[in-house]
Amino acid sequence: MARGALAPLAAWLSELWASTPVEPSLAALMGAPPRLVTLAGLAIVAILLWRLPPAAGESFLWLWPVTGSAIGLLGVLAWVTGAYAGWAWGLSMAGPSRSLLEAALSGSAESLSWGAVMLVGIPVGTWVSARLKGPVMWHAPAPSELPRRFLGGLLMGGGGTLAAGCNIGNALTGLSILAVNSLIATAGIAVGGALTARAIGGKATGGAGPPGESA
Amino acid sequence: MSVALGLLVGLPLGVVLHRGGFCMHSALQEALSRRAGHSARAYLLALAVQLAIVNALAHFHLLLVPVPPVAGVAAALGGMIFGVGMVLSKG
Repeated sequence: MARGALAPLAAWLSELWASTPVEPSLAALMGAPPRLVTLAGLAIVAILLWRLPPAAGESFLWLWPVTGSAIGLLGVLAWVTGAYAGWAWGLSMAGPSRSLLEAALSGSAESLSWGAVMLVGIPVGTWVSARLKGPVMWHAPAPSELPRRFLGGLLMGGGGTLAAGCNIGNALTGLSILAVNSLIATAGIAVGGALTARAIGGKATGGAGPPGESA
Repeated sequence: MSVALGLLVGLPLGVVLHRGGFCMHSALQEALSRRAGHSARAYLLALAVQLAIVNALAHFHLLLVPVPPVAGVAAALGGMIFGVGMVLSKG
């Protein structure tokens, strides 16, 4: 549930469709057995993988089969260890960010959740990984880019809270359990991102920042 | 302190994101421009791995999967706002 200054807005928007309850699971919505819908999902993913242009190698990075399977397996581990620790969701960034902030503000160790601990682990892991490769260098965006990045961050926080999840939480974790809400949110992220990328043209098509700048 | 299990996922995830140069923003840009890259493919593979294993675990009642309720307008609007922010901040 949303909390904070924008909670009433989120609650109001959430109730807009509450009068016509929709089955939360894609399988239930389609009236099909979950394993059939899972297989169909796997088929769609396979077709998309086949349709994408072949990936050009950047020699200093892992190849996509390694990265993809590692993230997928960590996503599974997130579901399993998270469930054990009372965290009823898999891999995500928005929920853990909020949880970490709440734990920091309340200052009590009990309010520290699995998600918050997982989130803290990410930059530590990245730092260790970078350190093992050599001296760590900090990359900061040019000062002229900071306002845009700050605005982007605000929109990600607000939008992610409203959509009950960020790009990882919805497009990876939510889609993997065939959640209708995550399917809608993922489509929204793609549309919003595509429109923005088109609107600002070449400025944002630089793609990835320095390695380690994650979603 | 079962919450410490979060480190079991967070620490290796940090390593993978760094070494794989994985980024959801790059994945979207790759898909939009049909530019060759690793993030879009890595994302799709990660999704496939999770789809297969998580649903298998749920099928055999080894994992309880809580499917969130549908709030269509909030999800669509929030998703679009997030997408705008993601491209602006290159996150």
